[in-house]
Amino acid sequence: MKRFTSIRSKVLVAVVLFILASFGFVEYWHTSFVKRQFLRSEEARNTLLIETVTPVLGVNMAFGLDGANDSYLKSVISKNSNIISIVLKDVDGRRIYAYGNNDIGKNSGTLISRTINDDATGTVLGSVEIRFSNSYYEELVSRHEQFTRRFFVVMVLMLVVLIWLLNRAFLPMVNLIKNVRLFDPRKDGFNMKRTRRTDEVGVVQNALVDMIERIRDYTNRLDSMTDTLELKVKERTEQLKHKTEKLEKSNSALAEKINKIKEQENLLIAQSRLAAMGEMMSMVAHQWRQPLATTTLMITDYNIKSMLSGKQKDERDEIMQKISDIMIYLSDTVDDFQTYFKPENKLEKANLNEIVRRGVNFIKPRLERFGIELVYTGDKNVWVETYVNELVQVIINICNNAIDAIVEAESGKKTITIEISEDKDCKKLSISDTGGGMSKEVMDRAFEPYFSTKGKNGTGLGF
Amino acid sequence: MRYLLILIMLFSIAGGYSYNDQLMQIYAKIAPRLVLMSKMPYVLPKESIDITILYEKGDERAAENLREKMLEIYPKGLGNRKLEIGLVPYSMSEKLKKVSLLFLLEGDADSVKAALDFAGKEKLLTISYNRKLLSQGAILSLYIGKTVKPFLNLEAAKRSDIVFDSVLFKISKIYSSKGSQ
Repeated sequence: MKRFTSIRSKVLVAVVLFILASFGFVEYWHTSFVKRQFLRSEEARNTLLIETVTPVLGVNMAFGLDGANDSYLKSVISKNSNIISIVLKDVDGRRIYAYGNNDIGKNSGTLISRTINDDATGTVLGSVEIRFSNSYYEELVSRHEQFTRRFFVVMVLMLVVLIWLLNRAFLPMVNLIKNVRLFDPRKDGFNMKRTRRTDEVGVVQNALVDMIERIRDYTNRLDSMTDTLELKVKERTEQLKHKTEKLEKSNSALAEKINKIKEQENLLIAQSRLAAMGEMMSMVAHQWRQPLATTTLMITDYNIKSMLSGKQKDERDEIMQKISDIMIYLSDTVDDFQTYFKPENKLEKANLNEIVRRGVNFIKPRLERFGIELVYTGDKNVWVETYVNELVQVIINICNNAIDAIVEAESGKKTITIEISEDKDCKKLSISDTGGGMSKEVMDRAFEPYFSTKGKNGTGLGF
Repeated sequence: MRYLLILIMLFSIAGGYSYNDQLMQIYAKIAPRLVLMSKMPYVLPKESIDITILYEKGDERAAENLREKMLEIYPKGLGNRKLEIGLVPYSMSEKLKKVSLLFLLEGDADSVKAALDFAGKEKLLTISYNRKLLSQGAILSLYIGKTVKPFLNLEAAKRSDIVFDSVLFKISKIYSSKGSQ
């Protein structure tokens, strides 16, 4: 099927069909035309002859010159070789003249008969029958058929030669197609070279050879470029990988630095605030200490005078004693505030119980306000080496958070429990409350800067 | 010998020419037809073919015989025309009228010449029993060779402006003053 649909097959089939069809049509037309024309001319010739003979015979018969008819018909026969027979009859059907055997050629040739009339009298004088031979026509047709057969044989031979030549002419094209089909720019399968032929096949072949050389060249260049590109991509990928790693490292370092800077900033802010508060508290303590000392001295002076006068202690003495205690408490509180807000960056040895007392002292007003009971248990004589103020601030922040949680939970029992204990390797301070505790998620993020469960009320900087 | 002498004696008494009956029969048959096969300046009467037979006085019987044969062959005439056949002796040829055909039987040279002059002058069709008269200007006669054929003097016919049917040429022998063809 593939072979049949090739251009070569189509051309061959088309040429053969065209030639056969043309030959057949021309031969048919020519033969039929020649036969028809020949038959017509024969018919016309025979008719003309008998039309010429009949009046002569008529006149002779009318003249009574029968002998003249004999010589006339002999003359006619000698001049027309295609006459097989002639029969001349009188009006009664008697044969006046006969040439040849009219019955022998019944199935061959053409019989033409005419009635002989006397134009002058309008009477019938007799009849003439002439049988004409078709041998000349048959011979002509035979010769024509013979010629046609020979011509056909020659045509077939010529067609064979033509097909062979066409095949030969298409052979380079077939080779070209095979080579093109097998062509792979990275292999040496294409063996065709430029040709000197100037016909269409030569032009196509040369064009293909040029094109294939260019394709090979482009392929080689492409392969080379691909290799180079792959190397470059590999190098660039490596470089990018290194750079990414560096970048990631620098990013993480940067993030750490930023965090540190933020922490330091926060610390600085807190410290600066504490310093400002400390200065302010120092001024408050300085202003308060003088009247408190004066008031305390005046109460002490009153007590000494009362003791020296030997008078019994009355209610006034007790009140004065209470005022003196309050004053002392107020003076201690001012000291605590002053100490608390005073930045101190050195470790010092302190009683953990004292540290807790100072922290609790700050939150006492809030505990009383919300009716929360503070349960304080444990060993009172535990000593630690620590940054005291920072630890006080830790206790205050945890206790404030505990108060907020208890208030928010609105639970029936409102208790904050602080417990101090000591093992061989560890000194432990634990603070617990009845506010419901923290979820795992909050626990995981509790020490993240700026994380708060209090919304706008929280800074996320307490812990 | 005795019969031959008697015959010579009879002819000499009658003073006439001898005529072949078969030839006369042929002449009787073809003469009217030749009129219809020719075109001549003389206009034929519509209903007849007028023929005049010229004869010597001694040939009256032959002339009458010829007329009878013609009428016998064509009793109803020819081509819807009746035959009107007149007999005129050469001695009265000065009284000849124009007819479609002058049939010349044998006659003396002067009489025949006078008749042929008249025919030539009037451009009439002439047929002679004696073919030798063709040399004197007769237009038609009979040629007797292996076969009997009309003998046609085309020169005389041309002089008299007479044209014949082409078929007649095919069956006729053509006379020429230089020798018949």
